Amino acid sequence: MATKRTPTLEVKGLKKSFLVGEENIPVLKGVDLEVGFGEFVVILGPSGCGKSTLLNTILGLEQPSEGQILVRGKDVYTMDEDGRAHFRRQKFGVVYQQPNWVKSLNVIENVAFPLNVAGIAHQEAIRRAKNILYLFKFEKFEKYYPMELSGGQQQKLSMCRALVTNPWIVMADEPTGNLDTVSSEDLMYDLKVLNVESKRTVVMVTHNPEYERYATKLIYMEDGLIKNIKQKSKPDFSLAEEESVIDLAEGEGIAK
Amino acid sequence: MKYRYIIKLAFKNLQRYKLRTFLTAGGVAISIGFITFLTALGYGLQKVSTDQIANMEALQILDIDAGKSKIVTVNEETVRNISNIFGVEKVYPMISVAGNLSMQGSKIDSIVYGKTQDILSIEKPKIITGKTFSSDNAEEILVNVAAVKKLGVADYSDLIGRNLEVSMILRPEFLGSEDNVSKKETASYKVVGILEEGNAPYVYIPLDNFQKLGVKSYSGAKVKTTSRENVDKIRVLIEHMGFKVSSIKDTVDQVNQFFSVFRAVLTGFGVIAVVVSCIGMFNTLTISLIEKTREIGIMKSLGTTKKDIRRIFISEALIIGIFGGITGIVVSMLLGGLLNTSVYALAKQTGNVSVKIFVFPPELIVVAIVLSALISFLTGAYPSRRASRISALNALRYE
Repeated sequence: MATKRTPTLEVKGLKKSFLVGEENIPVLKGVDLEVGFGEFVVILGPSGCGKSTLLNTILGLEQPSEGQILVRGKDVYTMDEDGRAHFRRQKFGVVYQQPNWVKSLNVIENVAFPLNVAGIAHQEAIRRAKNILYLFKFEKFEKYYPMELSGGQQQKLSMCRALVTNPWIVMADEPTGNLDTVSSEDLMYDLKVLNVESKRTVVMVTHNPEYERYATKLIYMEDGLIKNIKQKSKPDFSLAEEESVIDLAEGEGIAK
Repeated sequence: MKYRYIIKLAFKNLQRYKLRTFLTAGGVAISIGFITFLTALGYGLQKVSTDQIANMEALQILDIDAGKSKIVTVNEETVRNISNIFGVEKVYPMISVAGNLSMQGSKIDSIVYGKTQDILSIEKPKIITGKTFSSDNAEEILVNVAAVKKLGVADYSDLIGRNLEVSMILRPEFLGSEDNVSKKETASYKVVGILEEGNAPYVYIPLDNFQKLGVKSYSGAKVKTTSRENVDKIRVLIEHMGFKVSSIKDTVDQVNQFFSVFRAVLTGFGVIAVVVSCIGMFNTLTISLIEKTREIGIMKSLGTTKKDIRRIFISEALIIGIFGGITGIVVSMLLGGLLNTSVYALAKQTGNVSVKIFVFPPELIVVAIVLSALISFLTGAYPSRRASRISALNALRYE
């Protein structure tokens, strides 16, 4: 018997406007979206269409003017700022266009940082970060400082950092924006492997139409609204499979 | 975040800007060191003065002066009455009169004190040669150096064993006579000891000698109390009997009061230094906050709470403050110790009594450490609050 599962992510009637001077500028004008477990969502659209605002709102960083964000049924904005911070570090991994680092920490300490934020013992955090670095073949750089690495390496590293907490959803905001073609393809491949092999939900914002091919769900945005949703294939996982990933979230390293 | 991790992170952040951290902590060290050093000097000088003025026993003693009053007099009866006051251990009457000393044709003016052996055992006058009276009715005399010099005797030890003629003017209030006439009496006493102190000539003779000359009242008395706590209470009671009462405690209190002001002035200088270092530290923390805006952004987007961001910044301030403070305290103590040693060496060389001019009581150290922590909290409060309130998105966009 098929069970109706709770969507991993639901956006309901989302509106967001910014006050610029005395003018209220609407950026999101009513976005509805549903992301299922293990989907690879690519949000496409021209600059200024509201992609990044949508992403930041989902992450709990930008209070919406109207509407709801539900992550596995949990309404993100019923929590206060610290509550959302707490929620974010457990459920989301984030990769930005520009890698941002805690500059006084080296590679391994930066990757371990989200675990330290979560209050996990430092030794344990380092051990888990080591596992991730090993998977991405980065172990030889662990004592370097992130700023000493190339742009492509830094982006991969920020993916390691996004994954170290075993999040439900990996959010990527133009992750290849600053990279050359080879590094970009490399990073996209890693994201795809992550999505397929560890069945992790990925939501990526880009304006590069080339990346359409990685998506299982394509969303075209224009002027603060979703113009078109293209569902390429509908993965159908059993609940047991989903549980296995949730278990991993409390376990260690990344699922393989 | 775990506290240990926050402290570790704060240390790493500070290590990244070694020179800046070092200079800021240096500023705190200088200011805390300065204030500790000056306050220790205040304490030291105060201790030197009060130690010289009085030992613990002297603080238990009240001096009673009958003044020139004819209504109240210190006589056997009043001595008995005062002795009966609760908390009084003993009353020692004494007398002082104007007089002159003569020996081998030289004659000088001098004050003549009548004292008992008991009183001398409390007062402990410095006798440089000879000894004190053999008994309370011996016909003996103690002469101070100033008197010896005025008498024209070159070597004061020559005087021991010789006789000195003493004339005393006994005022009517001492004699208890009705006719209001002063009486002049002359007697000869054997010099048994030389007193060190005093610039004006004076001599001590046993009190009983005055009684032999017909004296019935005294010019005053010393009252020894059983404890220092009783002094003020007993003083009031005696004052109510009509006597003028003074105590070495008055002098000590005055000295203490002076030194409180003196110390406050010294501390005031230190406070200026502390304010300057606070501004320096505040500046450093604010600059570091601005520099770390993007870092704060990523920390927040990775789920760091406002509270943890605030703690990281406060920890940085505390590390700078306490590290600087302790360094300052240690350096000021070393410097104070060095100066104490130099004073000791100098005193030894010149044959003087050595004194400690810097004293670091434990409470001073504790206050200095607390002060450094307080400075850190005060100067760290605003930057850390501001850091915790930065919006993650704005911070990530910050260039």
